[in-house]
Amino acid sequence: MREVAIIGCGMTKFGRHDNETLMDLLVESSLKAIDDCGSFDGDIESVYVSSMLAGELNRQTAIATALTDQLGLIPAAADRIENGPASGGSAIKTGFMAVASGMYDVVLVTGGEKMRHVTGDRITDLVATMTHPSGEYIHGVTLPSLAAMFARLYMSTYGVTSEDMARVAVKNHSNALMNPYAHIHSKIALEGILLSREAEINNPVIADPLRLYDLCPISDGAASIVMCNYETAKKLSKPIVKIAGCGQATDTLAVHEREDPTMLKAVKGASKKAFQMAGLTPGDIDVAELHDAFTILEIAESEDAGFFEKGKGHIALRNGETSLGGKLPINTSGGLKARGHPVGATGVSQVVELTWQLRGEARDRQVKNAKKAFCCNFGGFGNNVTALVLSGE
Amino acid sequence: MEKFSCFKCEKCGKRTYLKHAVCMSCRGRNFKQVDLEGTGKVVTYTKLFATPEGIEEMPLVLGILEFGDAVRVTGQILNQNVKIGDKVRPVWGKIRKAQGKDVFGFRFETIDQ
Amino acid sequence: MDDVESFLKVDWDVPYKEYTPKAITLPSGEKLVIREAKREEVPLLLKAIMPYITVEKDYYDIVAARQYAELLGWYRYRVRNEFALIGVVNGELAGIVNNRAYDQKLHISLHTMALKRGARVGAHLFAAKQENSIENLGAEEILVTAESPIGFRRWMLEWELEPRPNLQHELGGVTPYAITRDNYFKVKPTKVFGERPVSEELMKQAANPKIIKFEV
Repeated sequence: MREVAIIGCGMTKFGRHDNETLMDLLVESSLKAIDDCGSFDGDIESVYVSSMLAGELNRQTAIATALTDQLGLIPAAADRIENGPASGGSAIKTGFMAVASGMYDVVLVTGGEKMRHVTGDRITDLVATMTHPSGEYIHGVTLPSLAAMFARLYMSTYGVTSEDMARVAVKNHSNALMNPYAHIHSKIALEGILLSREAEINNPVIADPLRLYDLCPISDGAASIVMCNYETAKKLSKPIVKIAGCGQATDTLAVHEREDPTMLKAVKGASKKAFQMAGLTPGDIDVAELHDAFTILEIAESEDAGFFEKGKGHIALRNGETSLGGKLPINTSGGLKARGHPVGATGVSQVVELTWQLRGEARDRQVKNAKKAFCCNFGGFGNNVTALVLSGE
Repeated sequence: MEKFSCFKCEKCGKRTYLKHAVCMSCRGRNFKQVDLEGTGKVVTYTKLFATPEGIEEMPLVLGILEFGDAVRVTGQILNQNVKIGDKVRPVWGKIRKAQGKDVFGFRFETIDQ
Repeated sequence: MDDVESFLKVDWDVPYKEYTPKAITLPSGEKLVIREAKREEVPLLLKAIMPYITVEKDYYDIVAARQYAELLGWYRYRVRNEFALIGVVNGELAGIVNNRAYDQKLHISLHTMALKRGARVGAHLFAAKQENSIENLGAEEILVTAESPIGFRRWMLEWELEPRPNLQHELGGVTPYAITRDNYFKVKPTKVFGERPVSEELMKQAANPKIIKFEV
């Protein structure tokens, strides 16, 4: 396999884009990434678009073809990749494989979603279609309810508290204040969302024990990267960021079929493969983007990806190890919780943030001397996970 | 009145509540529908306040239940004060409306100890 | 003309007591000071509400237009027994709510205008005005209506109100719902918050609120 580098990246602001179409967002983000390649003038040979709900919400299927047309990239190959919330990670994996195999030299990966024009209930329902139809969905199961059952078991097994989960939200909101692309720019405090009596109104229970601030928002937005083979990237002047490792794994569709429902085996499997390919270990990582669609997931993924012992992730969080300035800053972008979660864009936006970090372009969020980074994109409720290890020079 | 049952792999004996085309343990392809013992326990649960359309309960109590030799099921629990470890038994009935039609299935009621 | 003015002028004709200010913790940890608006402050409030009169989204236009009229009516002594509470955060006007006493026993819930969004200011102010009507002014029942679906869900459903099909709300909309004393005290533990007394420093901050930049 050839080595693969990221030579351009960009994203739209995540949030509410009432006056733009999904295509507008995909184009904006793609052009930003293409322009970010600087002096590179090679041809993009394949376009991957990750979007979970373009067909259902925006009445546009085969959207990769449409984007390729808009960007004047015809006759490049084009595919839409769908893997639920891990669509972005899957699209990057697919593009990575194309370049690593030698089939293409330069590819564009763009993830995007426009979701805020429909009701939250409809989004919740569409997202719930990822669950097992007869074993979960029909009983009224939604993703928040799965995360809540997971959180309840985690709390009872490992001693994680509501305060721990709230800390994830507070940390990620704080990080997002320094991210101009983040959806949510609002400071929150433990006092306001949990400790005061007013928390009853400020942070109502959605699916016990998860409260409003334990759930990520619904966002519009797009993110893009351009990848090419390392030899070509070497000729450019920007600091090179390599995709050093890539992994993916699945787990049971129905959460209840997992032997230990607190174990995110797909996270473990995908991470292991990614580290193996990169020849690195979790201890080598300087900064990570984890998939905190629900605050409890940041804690659980930090363990199953290999950064902390199982059941100890919340201790590291309490000690500030995962804050900006800590030993292993997690979600400097604000994470899904505050950067936002346009479903198909998320996995790509994680890589955009990490590319900025590894290039030294993350400004106020910069982790000093960040050389190695990790991200994981969590599909379904942990039944299809992609993981990437990135390295900067 | 439906029977509370599960699928047993004819080759290795592994039982799952949900149907699989191929056995997760031994790759076998033949299954028998067998009875599932009537008393289970609550592995985990939640009270959902943001309920889907067609669900009347507010909040909706959902849980993962475990029967016999670790056969697990996800379903609605008919007890607002359920705890992890509570004993439950299946009850057949209307679980919700979907697309305007009544949907029937198993729900779970807690059994007093 | 003086004769006619003194005839047309109305103010409070039921017993009135001033609302004691309170401080509420918002999600950010900042304090929302809720206090009674002074009549002299109405011009400022009208200025804050004005831009929303043409915003169709979430029925802002109808809420703003009506609250504007209600506050102006109170200011010009043409509406009796009306009070308004305002919420102030960091010296900025965060929201305005108003009710009116039809008589001593029956109050009418008028409007809730949240100028600072995303911080549950509307929910806290709505609760405060009902607290004023029931606990401070002794009302036995408050009639509530809603113009927007969000309003309906937040108040009629979350406060578990009962409809009053035999009555009409003075705003002429859908069947009104009632907050009775029983109902109020039942939901109070999960809806009505705040600390009293408010510190001198916070009260100073809340004395002359500025208008938040208008954004839709």
